[in-house]
Amino acid sequence: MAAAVWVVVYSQDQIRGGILTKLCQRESISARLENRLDRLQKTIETYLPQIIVMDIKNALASEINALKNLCEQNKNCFWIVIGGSQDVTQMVAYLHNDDWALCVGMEDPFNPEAICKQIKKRLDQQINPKPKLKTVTPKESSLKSDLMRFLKLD
Amino acid sequence: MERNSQIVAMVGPKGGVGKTTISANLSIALAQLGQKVVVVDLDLGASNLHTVFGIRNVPFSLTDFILNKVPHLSQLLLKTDIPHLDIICGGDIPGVANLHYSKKLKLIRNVSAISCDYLVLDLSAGASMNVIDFVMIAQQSLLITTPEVPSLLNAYSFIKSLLFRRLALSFTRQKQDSLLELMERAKDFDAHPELKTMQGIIKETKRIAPEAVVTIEKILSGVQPIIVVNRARAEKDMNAGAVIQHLMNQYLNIQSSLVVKVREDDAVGVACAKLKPALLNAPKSGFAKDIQSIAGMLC
Ligand SMILES: Nc1ncnc2c1ncn2[C@@H]1O[C@H](COP(=O)(O)OP(=O)(O)OP(=O)(O)O)[C@@H](O)[C@H]1O
Ligand SMILES: [Mg+2]
Repeated sequence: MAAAVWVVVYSQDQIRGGILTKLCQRESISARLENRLDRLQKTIETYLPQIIVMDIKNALASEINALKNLCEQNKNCFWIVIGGSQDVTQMVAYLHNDDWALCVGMEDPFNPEAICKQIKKRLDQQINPKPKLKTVTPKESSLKSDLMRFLKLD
Repeated sequence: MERNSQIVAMVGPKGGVGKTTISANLSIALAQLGQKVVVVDLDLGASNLHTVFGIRNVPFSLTDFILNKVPHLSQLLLKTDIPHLDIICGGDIPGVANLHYSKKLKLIRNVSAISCDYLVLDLSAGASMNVIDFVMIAQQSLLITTPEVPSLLNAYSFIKSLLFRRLALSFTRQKQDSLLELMERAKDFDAHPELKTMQGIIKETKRIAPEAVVTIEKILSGVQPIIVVNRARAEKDMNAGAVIQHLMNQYLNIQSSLVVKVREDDAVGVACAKLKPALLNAPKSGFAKDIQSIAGMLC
């Protein structure tokens, strides 16, 4: 099986995308950069990432539409939309209107540290639930067999 | 526009197990830890969260939102006497529990857009779609049960319904009709005993649509409720939580749920009679200690 990829960064801008991907990797978050829509789709299908960052700075209308479709097909993922203020506002409003797509917008100026922090926070919530308590081993009791009988598990 | 809130859903499929009491007091404990907290009464149709806070006259409530009198839920935030803690009171209009789908989506969107550190949702009893859909937007759910068999049974069944709903949604999106049909079969234990366990469902999925196994596993790993055994009196009550955890692990493949207890405590009834939250009325009580330790775990 392919190695896990938690975060996919989609950006036409090699510099912005590159910085963000590097920053994630430096924080030991396995991240991958894509700059083509078909590749992005393939990567999502293959790796089922938890988080997708889409940079829509200077994006064309057709690209925006394709990205909206991708969001719709991947509502399990958490989307972080970055780019110019107006574009981000519109995209986030669109996603919030369409069912309950989980996303946040982070408007320019581009702040890779803040984006990476948001990614870490989300991963932390999704992958490692915060509480760390020991699980308790049940003692043998009639309760278990009672419950199993009621639940038709025996 | 950033939505950073950690959403904590209080689920207690059996009525009267302590969802509202724990929602209110846990919200206070979180606020006392310096977190910005909003607690929302989503027990549509049978709301009473405000009474725990001693709020006698509700100036505005979810009803106003549902009846389109206010456009944004955030306009319903009501300050409590506790610093950093706001409440959104529930409404009481007949039939509101059967919200139209589009209204429910609007409510869900507005709820998840509330900006704070912790957004605590007090939900209704039962395993209706209303409850399940709100649990789906939460990062953490607290599954509240008492140590008695009826409550434990409901707790198990709730998690199973939640899993089935998540799987069905995902399969619908991926147009996996054969798996949707498999889920339907799995609901009939007697006819399909081999699909009684999640292991059985995964085995069958491997046969008909192997590529979907990873989706199932991902969904399973996302369901990690904290099991709260409320009104616990003795050590053996903690064992009730462990038993249900064990069954969920064994039959539903839920890997990492946790068990905590909240003691049965007279301080709760005393505070209730004074229309004051127990955490404020008796901050040193056993109940308060247990709630504070859950708050500490969440932060
Ligand atoms: N740990 C406790 N010790 C003593 N009494 C408790 C405790 N927890 C809850 N109670 C009492 O149990 C009763 C029911 O609690 P609560 O209203 O919080 O339950 P609920 O799950 O919200 O009910 P519903 O399903 O009707 O919404 C209340 O009278 C409350 O004071
Ligand atoms: Mg209640």
